[in-house]
Amino acid sequence: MDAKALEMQKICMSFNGVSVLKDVDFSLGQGEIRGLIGKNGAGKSTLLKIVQGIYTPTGGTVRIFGEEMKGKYEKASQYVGMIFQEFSLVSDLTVLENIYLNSEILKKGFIDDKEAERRVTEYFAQYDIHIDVHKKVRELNSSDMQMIEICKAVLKNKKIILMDEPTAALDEKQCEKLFAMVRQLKKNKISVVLITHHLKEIMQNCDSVTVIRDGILALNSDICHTTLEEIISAMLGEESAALKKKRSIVEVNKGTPVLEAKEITSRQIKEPLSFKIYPGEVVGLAGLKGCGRTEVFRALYGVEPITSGAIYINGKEVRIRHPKDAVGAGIFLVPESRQIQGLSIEHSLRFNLQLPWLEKMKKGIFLDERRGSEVVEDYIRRMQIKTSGKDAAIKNLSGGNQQKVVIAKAMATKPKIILMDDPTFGVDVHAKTEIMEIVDDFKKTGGAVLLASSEIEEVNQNCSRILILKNRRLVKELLNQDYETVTQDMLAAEIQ
Amino acid sequence: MKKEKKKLKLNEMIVFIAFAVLFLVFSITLRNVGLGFANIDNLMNILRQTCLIAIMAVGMTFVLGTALIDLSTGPIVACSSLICALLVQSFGILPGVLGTLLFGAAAGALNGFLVAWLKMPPFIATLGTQTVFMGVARTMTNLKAVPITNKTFTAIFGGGSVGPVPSVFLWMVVIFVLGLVLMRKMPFGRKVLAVGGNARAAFYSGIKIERIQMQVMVIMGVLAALAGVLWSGRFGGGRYTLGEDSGTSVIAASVLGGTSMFGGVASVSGAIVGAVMIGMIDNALVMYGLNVHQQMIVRGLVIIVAVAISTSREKVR
Repeated sequence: MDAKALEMQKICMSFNGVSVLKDVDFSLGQGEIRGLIGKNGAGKSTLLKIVQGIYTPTGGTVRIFGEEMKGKYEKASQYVGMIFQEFSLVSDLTVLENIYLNSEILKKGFIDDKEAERRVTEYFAQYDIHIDVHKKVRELNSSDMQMIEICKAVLKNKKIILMDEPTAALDEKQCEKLFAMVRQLKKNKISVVLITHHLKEIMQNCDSVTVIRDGILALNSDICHTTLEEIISAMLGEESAALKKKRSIVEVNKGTPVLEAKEITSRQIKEPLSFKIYPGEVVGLAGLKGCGRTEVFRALYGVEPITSGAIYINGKEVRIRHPKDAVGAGIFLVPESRQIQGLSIEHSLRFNLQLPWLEKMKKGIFLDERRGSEVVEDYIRRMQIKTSGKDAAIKNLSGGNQQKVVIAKAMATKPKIILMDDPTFGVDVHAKTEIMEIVDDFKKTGGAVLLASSEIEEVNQNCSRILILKNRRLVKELLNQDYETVTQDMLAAEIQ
Repeated sequence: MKKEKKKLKLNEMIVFIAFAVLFLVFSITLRNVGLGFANIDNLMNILRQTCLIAIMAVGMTFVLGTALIDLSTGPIVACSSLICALLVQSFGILPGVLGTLLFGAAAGALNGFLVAWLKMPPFIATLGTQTVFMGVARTMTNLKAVPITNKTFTAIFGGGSVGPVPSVFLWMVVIFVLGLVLMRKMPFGRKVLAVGGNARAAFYSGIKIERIQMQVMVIMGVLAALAGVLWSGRFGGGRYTLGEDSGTSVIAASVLGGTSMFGGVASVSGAIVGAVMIGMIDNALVMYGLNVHQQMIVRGLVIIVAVAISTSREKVR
């Protein structure tokens, strides 16, 4: 029998005496596709960094194709290719230039584009990829970029490919394309490790799965011998019961809407949109990628101010030309990307959380630091934000906790309505549940939420009313008062 | 995490440590030159020379904190010294000073307009205005110096002293305290750092980025003008060369003090220490017997080292 592509035994890792991984076994057969699952901070990325040879484990052995890596971990990089969440492609270079970046094929010292093109075209044919190699990367969509990343790795003869959340930015069709490619990799005896928060992808595409919880091995099984439930409970340990909590049903008084958009258009929304949201409501905004969710939020929040129509808060018309106006009117947006629009990651939790309401934090003309700190500590407690303290830099928090800070930021402005653009993107199941519970609590106190999510089930499980958005037009409204009327399949069909 | 905290502290401390080390080195090696480096008169002299740089460095701390830069401060000082001299001579002290500060505000607003509203890269925009103001300073009086004969003016602004304390020093203390309060105790400072740290996140938090950028550039302009007023007070008149080459020292002082060239991190007290340190180095170079041109070489190198330290603090991602 062939040697395993990767075999790790009793891997231990600690930083400054803090144990991050303890006795973890992890193996990968040739051509095996293995899912790697764990909450944010469970130790997944540490494990992958050991595989890549970036970290030297404090204990245990790593074998790649039977070869013991001890003392030469850097050699691992010959075999292992990592596909990052953020692409490492240069957007102004062509596909071809990117693939051979820094490993250009040379002929007499000059770059041999013809040979490179020949190889890439041949390769594309094999994997059934249809991308023009002379196109600049900036003109590609994210699934194509992802494939280029993978091509880059495979063409460099990597035998083990690590993918960290490869489908996060992809829609369904693009995912399908990606997994078709992964299956082709398998045929060519290339092994893949897939990290994702979408457990269904694991069930559908992987041969086996490894679950890590708090640095220990919680589950190691072939897919055919396990179930989704088993994986979830392995990942969460005792917490899994909390997941099943149902949303509370709030009697909505349909008197004056807390937010009303009347015939609004913006530079990005050409056809007038109208909708109303009442206090105590969580309204879903569902649609495919590119349906205009973000554009609606941008218009309501004054990022891309409306060009016609009107926005009413509690029946009064408000002029929103800048996020400042929106915040003043009682709207707060939890933006699409927490790292780009949501937070200043080098700054502290306290700094970020206080940012939108500094003017309210004053005593006279000076900042009231004591009250400010009290509020911050209150939110850390209430939202169970895991941090070493209020002065910890945001970049040291896990993704789920960062997202909680963004939501705390929103709450701290005491808004009447919170707009949430994909608030659980790239967040683990546990944090997702916590975030949705925060939303539920906000609703119970009379707050209103407009929620968009890249995950359909999140919308139908949390929203009592769902607006269907297609091509930047509202085409339908679904009622879901008991959070069960609209099923996931129904919703999936509606947005197509 | 613990380790990180320690590292951070070391980063903040480094300017103070460097300051102490340099002071010690100069005191020992220069003890036999003239009255010696550590002589009280010499130290007062250093302080007098650095106060003006320090005042501007406070402004630059806000500018850099916002992730902007202003290269035009030197020539604004020169213009201000001339404007001040002309106005004081013909209209008296108060109109002179206020008029000069108004000019500084206008000059800063011009920079702010280019940077905040026309979205020009601040480096290029202020490189342009730098040249413009150099030209203005030269044209204004046809390269002629303008003396100030008003004794009250020179006493209050730069020349005189209160007891043993030079009046420029008092001005510096006032600006330092104002800067510190503005940066640490008021929403403005937080907004500055937010815009410098992640402008987009600041925008989504409801902060008007352009307004903050405009405000810091105006503050910088006003402080450069104040430095111009004080410069003219110290020298008893205005001249197109006064403070003209101070811009780089101002940036270096601020960066030495721990303010990031990339925005988001700023220290007003560090800027003061940085300015005094640069003054100390300048002074020591003279005592070591270096001529003006050799001093330029060393000063340039100091700035490069300062920026290198600042850059190495930032992680390149």
